[in-house]
Amino acid sequence: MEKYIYYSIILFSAFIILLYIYLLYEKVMGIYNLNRRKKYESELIPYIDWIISEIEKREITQEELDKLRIDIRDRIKRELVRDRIIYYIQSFTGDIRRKLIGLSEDTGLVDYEIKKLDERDDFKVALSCRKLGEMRSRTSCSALLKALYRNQLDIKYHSLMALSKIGDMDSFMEGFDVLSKTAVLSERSLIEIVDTFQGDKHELYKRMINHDNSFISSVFIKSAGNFVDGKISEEISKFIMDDDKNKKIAAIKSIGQIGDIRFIDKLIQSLEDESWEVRAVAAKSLGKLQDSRALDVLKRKLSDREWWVRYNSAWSIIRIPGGVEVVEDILSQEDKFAKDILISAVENSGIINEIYTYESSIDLEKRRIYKLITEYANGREI
Amino acid sequence: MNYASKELYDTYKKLTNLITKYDENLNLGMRDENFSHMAGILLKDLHSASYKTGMMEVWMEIDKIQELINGEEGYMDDKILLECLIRCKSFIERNLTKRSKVYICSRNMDEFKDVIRSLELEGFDVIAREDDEDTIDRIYTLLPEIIVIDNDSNNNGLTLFNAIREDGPIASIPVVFTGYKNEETKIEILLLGALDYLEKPLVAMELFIKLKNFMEISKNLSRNTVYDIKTGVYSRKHGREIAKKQFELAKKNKTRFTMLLVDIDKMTEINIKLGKSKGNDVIRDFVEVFKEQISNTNLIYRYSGDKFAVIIFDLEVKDIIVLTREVKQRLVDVSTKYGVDLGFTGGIAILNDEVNAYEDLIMLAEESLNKGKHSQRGEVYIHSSSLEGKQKKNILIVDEDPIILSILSSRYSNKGYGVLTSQNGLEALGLLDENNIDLIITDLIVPGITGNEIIKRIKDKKPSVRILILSSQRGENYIDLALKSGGDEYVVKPFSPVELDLRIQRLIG
Repeated sequence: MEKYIYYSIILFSAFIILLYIYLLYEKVMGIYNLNRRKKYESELIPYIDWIISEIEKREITQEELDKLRIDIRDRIKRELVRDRIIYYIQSFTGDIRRKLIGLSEDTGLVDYEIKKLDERDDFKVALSCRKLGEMRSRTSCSALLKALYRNQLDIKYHSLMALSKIGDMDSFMEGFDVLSKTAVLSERSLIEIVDTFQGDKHELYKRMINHDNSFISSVFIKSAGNFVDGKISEEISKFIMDDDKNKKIAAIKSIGQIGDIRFIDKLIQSLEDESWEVRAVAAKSLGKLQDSRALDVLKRKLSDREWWVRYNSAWSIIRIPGGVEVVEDILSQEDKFAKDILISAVENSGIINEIYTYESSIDLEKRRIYKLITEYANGREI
Repeated sequence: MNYASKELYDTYKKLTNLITKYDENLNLGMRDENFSHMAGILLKDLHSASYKTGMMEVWMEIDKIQELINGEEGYMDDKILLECLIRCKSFIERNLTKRSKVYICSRNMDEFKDVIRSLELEGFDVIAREDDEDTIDRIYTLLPEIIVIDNDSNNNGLTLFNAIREDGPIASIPVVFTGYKNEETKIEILLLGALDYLEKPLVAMELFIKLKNFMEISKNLSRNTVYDIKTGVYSRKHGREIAKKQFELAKKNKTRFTMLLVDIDKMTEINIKLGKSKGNDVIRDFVEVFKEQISNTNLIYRYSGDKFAVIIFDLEVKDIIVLTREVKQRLVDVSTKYGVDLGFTGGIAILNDEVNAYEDLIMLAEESLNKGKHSQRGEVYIHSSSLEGKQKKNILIVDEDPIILSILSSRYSNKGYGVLTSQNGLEALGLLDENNIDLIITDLIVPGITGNEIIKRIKDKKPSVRILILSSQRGENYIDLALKSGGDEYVVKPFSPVELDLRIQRLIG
């Protein structure tokens, strides 16, 4: 028994020693690599900066290219060159960006990252997808599309984002086709990806808002709203009366974002939709259109059975020119439901600060509104 | 060297005539073999005369084109010859202006022959003329150091003296009288302020020595004259001394120092048309217009006859050009007032690393002025060296991101700007105090202070500093607020470097 105890002590001690050696090795290697990186940084960064300043004026020579190709055989050097070029690509626009993308292709940096997409380590693959997106080389599109089939969410997100940054429309659309079969990314992520698209966005929206997959279609409709693409609002407006609730909501939201008052009647009509989500979004979009024609119907919607519809209607009323008069009207009536929601919207929207300034206004109407709102907000009976 | 030799002076006179004639022909596009030939001979003479007198600048100038003059290269290029002549003239003028002038007014020049010869041998420039209706104008033009008036039995000399004394600008020129023995007249003349009255028959040596002594005294007195009598601006000597001191300071502190040399066009024609006295009024009004346009911190002095040196410390070249245009517009009123066509040609030279001494800067300004005078008058010319080696503009870049700082810093250093960087807004304000900054490139979000606050503070401290905002904030309200706070340009990140270059150029050149 005693023997076993000794054995286990020896084994345990050996394990501790090995662990200690490993930690020591890691620490030493870490310091060594850090010093190496610093050394390379001081040599390479000024050279890359110089090369980049030169390619603005002339073509890079074979000799200069060969030097960079040799340098990037070393992992640390490769990372330094890659990250510096990426930084320039992200900071600069115009012709220089095209030349920088060419430089990342000619040096072989893009090929290195493409090769890494075949690795088993999902983290490394996702990182390579990200780097390929940042390098914006169209040569990596097919490899990125292939990566989209992998199950890991990070890889899907980064490969689609990379396609979006590259801006190749066909590949990007194909990416969404792939995704529609395996859709697992959230709507918010997808809208972010579409918003980032670096190609012809208008053309993309035109093609994609009619996608068979209603989820994907609504993503593009919402993104078009974020892009404030007025040229496509007519196309979007068709979806306001669509049977699909997602598309309907996306279209109403986008029209509000774009601020196209031509479709105000359709939005007013949507306030009567049986879905409370549609009614709530329509109420908010009408506020964004800032057209006084919507005031009467919004005033009516302050008594909607759904709280969000009431709240958004109040939110919109106080934003529409002439809405303050409606506030006065409501506060002088007996509908406590409407009064409460209106005061809540006034307080939450920040408009209350403006109303405080009405206290000493020479305009009697404004002074009256101030009095009505503050007295009601303070819980006193008018 | 204080006095140039008579030989050199005679050559100079020929040179001046030739340039005038030659220049007209060249402007008309005519090539005259005679002129080329004459210029060749004259330059050869001048080459030897300058060597004898030790005027090495002239000697070296001619030496450069000696092969051309000697006909070794065959065809003589008119333009090269003309340029050489102009440069030589300019060098000689600078030396000859040191010659003292004696104006002798007499109806009997024979009596003064010996005195004139002695004075000329001594290196004085003697102008001997009979009294006529143009005497006052002539004295105005020549501004002699001393006047000798030979009084006759009709007291015409006394009349001339009274006229001189009544005319402010030349009243202070010392006058020596000669005349027949007449105690009453002698006392009257001396009471009027004449330096001496030498009785006839004249003793040439006595008059010569007295003139020399008087001129020495006059020279010492004039050395202490601070202001030019006619225009009220600094005299050449004092203006130059002040400018020189300022030049040294500007060189040391690397601040702006620009010389604008202006020459009034067709002043001789104006003097002929209006008379010298009115001509002086024109010059005075011309200077007044200039003085009104430049701020008090700048300096103006009379460089020579119709030339004025304007030293400008607070304006860039493009602003100086704008200023000269404004002066030209204002001169229209002066032209209308006198019924003349008043204009000027200007030459600009800027203090940069290539300029070591104030004299170098003058030479550059003169070169550009001469270029203007011989191509198209009425314009302002900038010396090419001033354009090539433009004053180094300083840029302060403020951004939290060290990489963007390093990229922009190396980019604009390579483009010839002085670049300072800071990652902190408060530190940037400190750098602004300590350095002569022309442009600040700042992000809207920087540690220590908000971008808009930094813009406001910069504008309060140094309103002339230009501000370019380089930010990733692309919202209209951000842009609006930044520009309203005092920003001059707003560039959104990511940005086109070419566009950024152009905007920087637009702001600070």
